[in-house]
Amino acid sequence: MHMLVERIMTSPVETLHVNDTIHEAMNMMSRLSIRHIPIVDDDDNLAGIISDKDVNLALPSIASKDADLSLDLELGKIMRQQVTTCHPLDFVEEIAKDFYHFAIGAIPVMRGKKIVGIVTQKDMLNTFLELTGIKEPGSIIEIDIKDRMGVIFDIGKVFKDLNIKIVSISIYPDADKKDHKIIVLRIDAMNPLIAIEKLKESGFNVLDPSEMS
Amino acid sequence: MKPLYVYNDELLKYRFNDTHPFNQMRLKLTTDLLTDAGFLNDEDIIKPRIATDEELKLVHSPDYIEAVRAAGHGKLAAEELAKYGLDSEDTPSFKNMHEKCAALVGATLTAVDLVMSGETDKALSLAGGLHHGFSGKASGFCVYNDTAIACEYITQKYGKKVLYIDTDAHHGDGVQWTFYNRNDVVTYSIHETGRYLFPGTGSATERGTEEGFGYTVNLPIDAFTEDESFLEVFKTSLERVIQSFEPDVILSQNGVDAHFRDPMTHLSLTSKSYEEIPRFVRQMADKYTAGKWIAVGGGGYNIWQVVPRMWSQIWLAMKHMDAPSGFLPEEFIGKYKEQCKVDFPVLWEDTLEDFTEIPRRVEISEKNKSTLERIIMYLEQ
Repeated sequence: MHMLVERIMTSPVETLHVNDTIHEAMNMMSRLSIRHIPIVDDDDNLAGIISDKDVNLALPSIASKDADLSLDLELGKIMRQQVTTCHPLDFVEEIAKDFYHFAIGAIPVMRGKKIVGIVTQKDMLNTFLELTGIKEPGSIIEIDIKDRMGVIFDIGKVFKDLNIKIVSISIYPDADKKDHKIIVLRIDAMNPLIAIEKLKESGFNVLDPSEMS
Repeated sequence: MKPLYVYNDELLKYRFNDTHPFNQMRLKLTTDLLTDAGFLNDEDIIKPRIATDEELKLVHSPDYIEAVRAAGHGKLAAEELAKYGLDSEDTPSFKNMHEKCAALVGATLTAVDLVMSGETDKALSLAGGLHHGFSGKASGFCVYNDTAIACEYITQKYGKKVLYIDTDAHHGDGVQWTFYNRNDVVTYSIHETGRYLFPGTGSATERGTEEGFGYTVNLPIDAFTEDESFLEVFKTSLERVIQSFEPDVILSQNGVDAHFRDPMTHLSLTSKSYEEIPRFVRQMADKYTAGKWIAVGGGGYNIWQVVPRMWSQIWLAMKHMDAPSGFLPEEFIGKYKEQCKVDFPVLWEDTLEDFTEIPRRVEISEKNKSTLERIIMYLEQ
């Protein structure tokens, strides 16, 4: 997934100042339906980040009498100062590891000390859906192959000869067989039977749905 | 009121080529089976009219209609054929394709007019049901989308709310996308999931957009689903949809390719489901739409062993007749047994000697039930 962060980030980003209050953060989160706000200092440099969880932790319980006081608390006092950031030219798969390892919800995108965008878990999921999702109708064929040079060419030739377009290809390692891979083809055909027959004639092991999991 | 059956032999001419799996010979087989059994008489049969260009334009773009016309007369350039999906194995151009496709659409509209004008309350045109056709592109064996045209025709000409019911094994994508932002046509499609099967769309989360949000209902069921699970989720979800939408008329697409003997799909229904589906739809029409029900055909690629017997049930359901059992009429067997290259079925009901049991039955039924619950949750929102 050598897609760049700049393709999936949200930009420009709404920010708040270190002297803004929890009250303002709550309003912004609810108005924009977001859960993370980068916090900047007087020079507009990134100073920290707050999440809805940080806000909740800073608030007293419903029963407390000091609710108003807490709402006036400055964000500089409760923000997280250790922020995981990235650059617009980072690979999406690299920041996916950050999301996974640090269990974080959003990563600000920086050029130097200036914030130029933000990527959230939701953006990551959307990107994944875009990669696996479909825009054109098609049937699925799965082939179990022993990995070798030219195998994609050989499969491609079968479809070229049949005048059937391949819409997308994904390749997974076979969990059970060493050196084997599963090739998943989405083809532009309602009737996959002709292609399946040709693939079998050419020696390919086409998986039947009853043996796929 | 007596139901009516739209048919003539002209409709058999929708044929891409000699080896294509979409074979309208099944219309003749079904009509002969019903006639030979004494269930269908000459006075039940109405000759179809031909759809006009204006009617095709209710759904299709003018340039696409011109392209189909030119392709059928051998006058469309190769790159244009590709652009309109007319050069694929699924929908290759054939001689006079516009005229033959317009005849098929006309047959469906004939059935619509019979019901909407009040001449009868139930009409069947098995030639139609080509639910994959898009506004400007042929797809999945379908050139003009007669089902989408029929729904639009009902809303525009008669000003009525339509419930479209699609029980074909494939998702009814062409009809769904035509009405995705509309609230005067609700599209309900129950189909094999897109995990393996064309077109791959039709997940439960596809629910419509803008004013049409909530007016698209999809119930994807797992490969190898059997009668009991199918009927449970189908009946429960369908009645809920009808209750919340309150349609004026039902238009049902009756693909029979979810049958276990169909070569194209991976569902495992038997004649039990195909006896019950149209009878349940009829019951719904009688209960909620003053009996108004138009039915069309659809997928079905085992034309000898499956389609004629399964499609007959739609007509019998319209006539309020129970599913017959025992031998098919001798005359029918005599006429066709020799031509059939596979085992010719001689009974109305399926015999199950070639039915393969699936070990994951419990899991599959559970999964279907969980999809049903999600759909009901959506309907209650």
